[in-house]
Amino acid sequence: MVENLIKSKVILDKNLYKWHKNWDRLQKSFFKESYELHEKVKIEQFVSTNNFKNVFHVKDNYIDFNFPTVSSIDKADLILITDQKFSRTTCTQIIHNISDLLQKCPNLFLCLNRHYLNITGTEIDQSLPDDYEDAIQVWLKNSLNLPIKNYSERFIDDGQHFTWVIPDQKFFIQKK
Amino acid sequence: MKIVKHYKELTPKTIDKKTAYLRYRVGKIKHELWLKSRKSNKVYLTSYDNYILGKLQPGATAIFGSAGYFLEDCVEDLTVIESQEIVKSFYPKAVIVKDRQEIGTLFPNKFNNFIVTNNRSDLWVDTNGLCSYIEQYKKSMQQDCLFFYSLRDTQFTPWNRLKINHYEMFVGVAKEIEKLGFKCLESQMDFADGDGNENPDTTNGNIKYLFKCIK
Repeated sequence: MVENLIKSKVILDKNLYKWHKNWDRLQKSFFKESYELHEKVKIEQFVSTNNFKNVFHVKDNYIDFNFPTVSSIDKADLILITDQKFSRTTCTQIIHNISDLLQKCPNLFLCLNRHYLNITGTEIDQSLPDDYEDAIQVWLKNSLNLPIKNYSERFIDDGQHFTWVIPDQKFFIQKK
Repeated sequence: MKIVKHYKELTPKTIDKKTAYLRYRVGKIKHELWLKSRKSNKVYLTSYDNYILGKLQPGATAIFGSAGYFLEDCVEDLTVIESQEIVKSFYPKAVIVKDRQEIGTLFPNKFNNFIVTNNRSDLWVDTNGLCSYIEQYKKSMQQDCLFFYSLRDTQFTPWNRLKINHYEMFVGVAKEIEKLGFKCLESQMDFADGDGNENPDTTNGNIKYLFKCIK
């Protein structure tokens, strides 16, 4: 270290990282061709195929989905969650939040970011499968006891699968 | 329109200097500290940087892939090593390497302190991948060199977060690094409280190690 520091030190306590509200559009500006994300198209096809007309989208990031959305959850026939924060609460809280949302609308398309789950590191369940993607599905099924359809792709994330635009683990959950 | 799953399916635009700088800034958030400090009579640091400054031993210090030029007023004999050519345009003293192997070739057994703070090019590997990078860094370290290394648990090759104890996971990583010829002197692992925020210290990483190179 410099013995006699000429400048005075200022210690910043805040995180420097800033969340970009339109990460998708920023990334698109880096590439030559126009493109759409496979995962975005998949969700659009799901909405279209299942004839959902009023989607309530919980997001922290603008994604230009090609389907009608509603601003009130009370008018929704489907809740879509792509908000990364949803995956950063405790596992217990995630299950509570899902149950609460299903009280308001019986159809939920949930996108979870696998890299955030069990964010506190305190909710270990040794009975779950060793395979992480299987473990996520089993945890949801066991915790909710509801029909769940898995729409996730299988891949080893290397940070280049657009997981921070649309979280990678996708489930359709229905309250019967 | 093209439908893609992965970056590799896309063609990057021809990168002009402005775009290269923009992309660099997006990835290197501590560049902001240099922007704040360079024309100021103050040096802006994170508390982790201040911790490192307090631990540095006399001699040569290297900082790799961490936008470390903001430390130049605080560290006597500092070598800033980066992998992106654009850095040279605003910090001409930076040493640019094409890959990690070059570090050991350019500076064999040189450094008394070696710092890597949340380096984006070290992300998305498993323990073996990380160890292969650290083996390269080690070639430029003197005996007893202090090695400051930090990362984020959420940007490691996926591991079963529902089944593997997080502390055991990263203690295990430290033990593998020790096998390369290091002794872990200190470690700090901080996790979020589940309120929806990221894990603590997204700037430097929530997993921090201090090793001593024992050759």
